[in-house]
Amino acid sequence: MIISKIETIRVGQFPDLIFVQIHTDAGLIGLGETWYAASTVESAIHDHFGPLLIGRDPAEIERHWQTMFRLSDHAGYGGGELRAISALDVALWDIKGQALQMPIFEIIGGGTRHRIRVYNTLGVYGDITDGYDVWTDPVGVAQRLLDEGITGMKMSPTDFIARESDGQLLFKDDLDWALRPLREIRDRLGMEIEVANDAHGKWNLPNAIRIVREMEPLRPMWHEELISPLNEVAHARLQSATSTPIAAAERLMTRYQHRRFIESSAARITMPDLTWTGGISEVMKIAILASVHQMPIAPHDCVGPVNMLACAHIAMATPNVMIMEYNRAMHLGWYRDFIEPDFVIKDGFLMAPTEPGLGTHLKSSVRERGDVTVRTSDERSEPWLMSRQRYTYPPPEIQDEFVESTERRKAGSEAVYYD
Amino acid sequence: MKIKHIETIRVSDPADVIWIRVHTDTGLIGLGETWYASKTVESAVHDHFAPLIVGRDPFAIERHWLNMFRLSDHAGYGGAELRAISAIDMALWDIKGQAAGVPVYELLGGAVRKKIRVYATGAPFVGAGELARELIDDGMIAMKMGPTIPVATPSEGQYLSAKDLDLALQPFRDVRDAVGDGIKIANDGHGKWALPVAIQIAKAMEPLDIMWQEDLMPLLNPDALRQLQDATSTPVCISERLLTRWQLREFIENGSAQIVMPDLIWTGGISETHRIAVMASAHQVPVAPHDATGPVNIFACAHICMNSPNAMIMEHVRPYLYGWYGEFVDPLPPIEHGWLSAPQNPGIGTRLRPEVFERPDIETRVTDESVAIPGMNDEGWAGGDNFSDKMWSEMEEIMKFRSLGYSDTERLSSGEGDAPTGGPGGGIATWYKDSETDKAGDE
Repeated sequence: MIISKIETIRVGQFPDLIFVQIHTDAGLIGLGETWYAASTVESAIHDHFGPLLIGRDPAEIERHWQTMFRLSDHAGYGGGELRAISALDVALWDIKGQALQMPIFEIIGGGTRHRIRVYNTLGVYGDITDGYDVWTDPVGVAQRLLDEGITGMKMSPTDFIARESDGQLLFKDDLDWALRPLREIRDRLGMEIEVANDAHGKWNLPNAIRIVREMEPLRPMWHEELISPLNEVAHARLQSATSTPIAAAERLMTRYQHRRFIESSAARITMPDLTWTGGISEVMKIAILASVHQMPIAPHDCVGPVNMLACAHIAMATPNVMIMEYNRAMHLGWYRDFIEPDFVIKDGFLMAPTEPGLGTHLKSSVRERGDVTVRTSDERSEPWLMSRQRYTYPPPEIQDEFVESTERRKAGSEAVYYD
Repeated sequence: MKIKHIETIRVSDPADVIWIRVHTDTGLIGLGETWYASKTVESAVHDHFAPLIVGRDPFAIERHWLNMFRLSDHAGYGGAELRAISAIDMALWDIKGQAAGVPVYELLGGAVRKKIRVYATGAPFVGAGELARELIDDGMIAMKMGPTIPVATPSEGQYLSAKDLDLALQPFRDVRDAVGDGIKIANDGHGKWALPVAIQIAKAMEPLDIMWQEDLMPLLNPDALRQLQDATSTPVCISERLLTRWQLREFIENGSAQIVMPDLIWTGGISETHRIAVMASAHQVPVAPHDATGPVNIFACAHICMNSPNAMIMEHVRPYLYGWYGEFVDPLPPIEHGWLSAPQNPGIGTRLRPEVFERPDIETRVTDESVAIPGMNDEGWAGGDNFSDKMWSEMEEIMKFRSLGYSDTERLSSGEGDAPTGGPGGGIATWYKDSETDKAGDE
């Protein structure tokens, strides 16, 4: 089987969302997704990585991941390029699952569970206004989730009060105001519902320490991004200031950045975003790394529907998954406009996908939307970086003296296409 | 002064270079540059960052840098987005220098030197000795080559036979045979090797007196690089692939980087390279800026080198300098007889040649609108999204109450009346006011 065509699909309604479909000559289509700066990701897929994959075997996922990552790391990995790699990686796993007629979690090790508990990140979309309502009726919002079987929620109470000083000054009256909804929930519902705190990296270290200490009696499930995860030493100081677990969050790219936070006790939970950090392949590796340190992962969502399914496979096959993020407003609001079948949330759990591969497809109606942008690549090329002209090679007459290298080169092993 | 529009310029050859021009309403044009995956960078500039900057004050470089960085870091910083930020940052410094009528290094704190040594990157596998002689005759004291790169291919850097290693050492021996100790030689490994092989190579090269070992291994784990530095007496140089002070910090603090090599147009522009140089100085290690990209980068690095006491030497590629650079910029980087001199013109010190705009293969794109992008505001991330109007007004009441005794302006501006001409005015507080205006669509 070879990869014949790579296609990206974006829509005007969600300018950050991008799907990728990898087509094979056997007729299988693998689906991947990422979220954020979609047009830049589109360029990375077609102008940078796609031409490397076309004409090659989709089964060699690890090889393709390495090739793309090294190409990107030539000028420093990360950003839109790594999101492109993540989406392509998911699509390759989808193809492999379909080819083998198995859900991905069966391929990557088999199920350790058949469902994973979710928590709801309070969002706002259409009729669902949990994110607003929590300020006026926190107990009602929490109770509605409990009624659905969802036992955890995440909110960002301190984002707003960081705005004025850019996170450099924290005032007691602001913090009291921000914590009012959570206090009300604890007063009325006790510990019935777990509440995580996400601050989107807005604070400096001393203010973050003050917040975790103030919040200690409220027993949050975890603190996430009170400071940006840019420095694991600062992060470790924050963790050592509180008994509440600190989550090393979704901005960390690849096992290499996660490792710093895992090994230096800078966090007690790690939260990879599968569609940003390198796809299914890389999150498996991050989970293994975390397991060595007896640390759970809690995959990030709030991005798109395919991510939920990809994370579901990780969660089913990986013992140290703690809980899965779930954005109810986005799921019920718009995820189902794009994929079928939908993933299943039942009694507060995300259920194991049952179909081969990823377990879902892009709806054909997506292509018929008025605001859709489809871009296709079907030509293979070698980027300049990988060309032989890039380096000054020994002339052939000298090379021939060196049996070990040249014989392997002459063998022309396909595995050696990356220089 | 306001930014009117932002323009990018690409050509088919070289395809990886992209220039950015930031145009202001006063007619000043700032020039920036980056290199690698230029189409993806173009998208990042126009679809992502430019709308954040158009209509704003070009002098508020730090604010723009922070906004762009945070916007990009929302989903993990790096790659093409950071290259876009680097190019924009450079163009903003160019504008500020032109407005002030001084070269950029004057704005960074002034010059500690008038010129900096350069070394020449690239050597043929056969004939490196001859090249070394030529370089010495031209006044050069150092060169760099990467002969271990091709021999890494067969095993993908996991294994190196004694014979292949011997092959890779030949060009170094050739240089030493030709000119003795008359020239310093650096080795660049392009991140190809596993740790034990990297150590094997570094040890084998020690008798050849190597100036530094650069990127023998991928720059993915500071602890592994520390083991390499511990194993060899040759300084380990780290590395153009590391992005921002946040990544370089790890390698500087753990002692694995005895020489720091930021790539200005990848790591965050003049602003970030300046910060990296300062951080390196606190650890008493030098910086040797990376090049092998485009001509404007050399100018930008020249300003860093003139200003930074701990600048060691500057990279350049002679075939580029005497080849394609001249088709695109005027003046060329002031490199002569082994030295890069301080640029004399105000700002960055060079311009794109008018002929560039007449090339048939030119691709330009312009953004002149400041548009609202979901998830983006002055902080880079719309943290206030989850707040209803009622919440905003309630919060504003609290703020009003507080500011009775301690106003935003007092706290956040200099408190000495007007800010410098064209500057951001009342500091962060004013920025937030601007931001509110933008939201209301009044501009």
